[in-house]
Amino acid sequence: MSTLLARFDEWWTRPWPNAAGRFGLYRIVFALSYLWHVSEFDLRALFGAPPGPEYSLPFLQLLPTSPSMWFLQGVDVLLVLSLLLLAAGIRVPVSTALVLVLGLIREALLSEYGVENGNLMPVVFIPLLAFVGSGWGHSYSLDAWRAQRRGETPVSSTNDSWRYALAMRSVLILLAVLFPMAGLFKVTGDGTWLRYDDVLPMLLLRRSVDSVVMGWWANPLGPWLWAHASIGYWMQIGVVAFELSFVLLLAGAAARRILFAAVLVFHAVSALWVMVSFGGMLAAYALFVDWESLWQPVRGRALVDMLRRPLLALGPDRCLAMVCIVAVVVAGTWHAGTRHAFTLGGLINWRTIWFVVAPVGLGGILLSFWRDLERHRFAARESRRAAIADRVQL
Amino acid sequence: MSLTERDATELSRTTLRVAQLVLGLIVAGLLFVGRSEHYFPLTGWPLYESIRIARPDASVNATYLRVALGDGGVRELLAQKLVEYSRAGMIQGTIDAATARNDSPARSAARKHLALLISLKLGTSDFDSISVFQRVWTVDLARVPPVNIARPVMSLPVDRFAVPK
Repeated sequence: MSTLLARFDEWWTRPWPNAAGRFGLYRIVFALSYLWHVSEFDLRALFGAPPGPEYSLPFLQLLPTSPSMWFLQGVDVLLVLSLLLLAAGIRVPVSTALVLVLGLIREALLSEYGVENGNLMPVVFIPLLAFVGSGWGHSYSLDAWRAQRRGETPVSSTNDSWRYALAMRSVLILLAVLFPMAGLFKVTGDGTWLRYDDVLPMLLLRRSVDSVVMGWWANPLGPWLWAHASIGYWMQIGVVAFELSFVLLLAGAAARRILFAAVLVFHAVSALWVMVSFGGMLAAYALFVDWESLWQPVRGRALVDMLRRPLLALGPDRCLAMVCIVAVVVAGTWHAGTRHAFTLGGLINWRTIWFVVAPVGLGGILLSFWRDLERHRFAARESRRAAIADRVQL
Repeated sequence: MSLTERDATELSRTTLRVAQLVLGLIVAGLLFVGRSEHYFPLTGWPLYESIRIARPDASVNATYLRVALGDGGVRELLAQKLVEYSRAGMIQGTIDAATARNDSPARSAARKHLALLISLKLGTSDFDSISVFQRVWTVDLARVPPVNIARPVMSLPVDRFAVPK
């Protein structure tokens, strides 16, 4: 038992390359992607809405039954303000807690009309785990800059301490639990995916029709699916096996990369043909991008330096005041139109986001595989050379 | 006051245990709630697990709104596009209540809500009346696209009402 616990602790406390830097940069990515998510739905639309099918959710009983316009507007504005403070790294523990509470209230109000399971990852789990694990404000934040000015030792962005990887490892475990749960539900109890062979083809056909009615593209495989609906059984088994395979996330970096590459394709295809987005999950996958490695080659560029110089001249306190003013202005004008900037005027929506993320993410994953291969080849070449040199010496 | 290395290590250990505890509680909660979404925000992923979808019908319909603007113009909106797609389920409830036959406070509230949704979509409240109608198309699953959106087979008026003030 003690060996098992020691192994468990060893897994949690293993160093994670660039952990501090990538978690700090991830905080910014998280906040910006959350702002995009908030910009997709104007909470004021709930004012005066008839009760939804999930009105009896116990959590909703904690909130006002018919929220006023001020309440709805206030939740959106305060959440946007908190996210902007979080992105800039101002009072990070407090802004994280505010993002968690306000985001949860917002999501609960929306859940009256249908629970969006994927959204719970960025709305509840990630902020909660980041709050508990702390450390995402220790780098790339105004908090860190101000602490440094006070004489505290700065945290290096290349610090690989496990402390900064707690949220990443926790989310890894959550994904390894949630995906297989989805697979298991489909084939046990009331699950229909092994009982009928046309669940997926019929869903795809139905969604193809819906898609055209919505003014989007039809599924080009529609006629083929219509003629070969029995193929659905194998497609369904494939989806279930794919979801169950997520336990392999815990098996190591290579398995993780393959699964993340596959899941990006899966989501893009689902968004395109099943009209299911799961856009909230982007925040979870982004946790496993090495933002620090991406940022390093860019940070020394002349343009970045030119942008950074005036901020350095201002100093952390003035920057803080400036960011607060900008945050108040953006949050205050959110419903007046600022929110549309985060969707590029509606261009980046729940569906199109996958057509950007999937190819970029896939490219990044393939590149990382290629780099690993090159590294292995180089190491093999070097060891061969060393062996030859040894033989020559002998 | 600065922390000694030992203090920092102890603090990190405590953080690790708290993070493990929180994660353990979340996972235990997810396993406990299973398929149920009743315990929001703790929900597993019962995604389409018990669906049984029949072959699409020979026809499909969609609800449209024709909005008479204050400047004399007319705008036509697909009802489902009034809010983000994943939340579009709320629209049908509003339209059903807004077009109910009997005059009731619920109908008047739903009409107000529909007017709010339209004003948020259009960015203006300057419109006088709303006509609700349905367009019907035939579906041919052997074709791509299965619906010729430019050629509805019929257009059925559902209701027309003045924008509640």
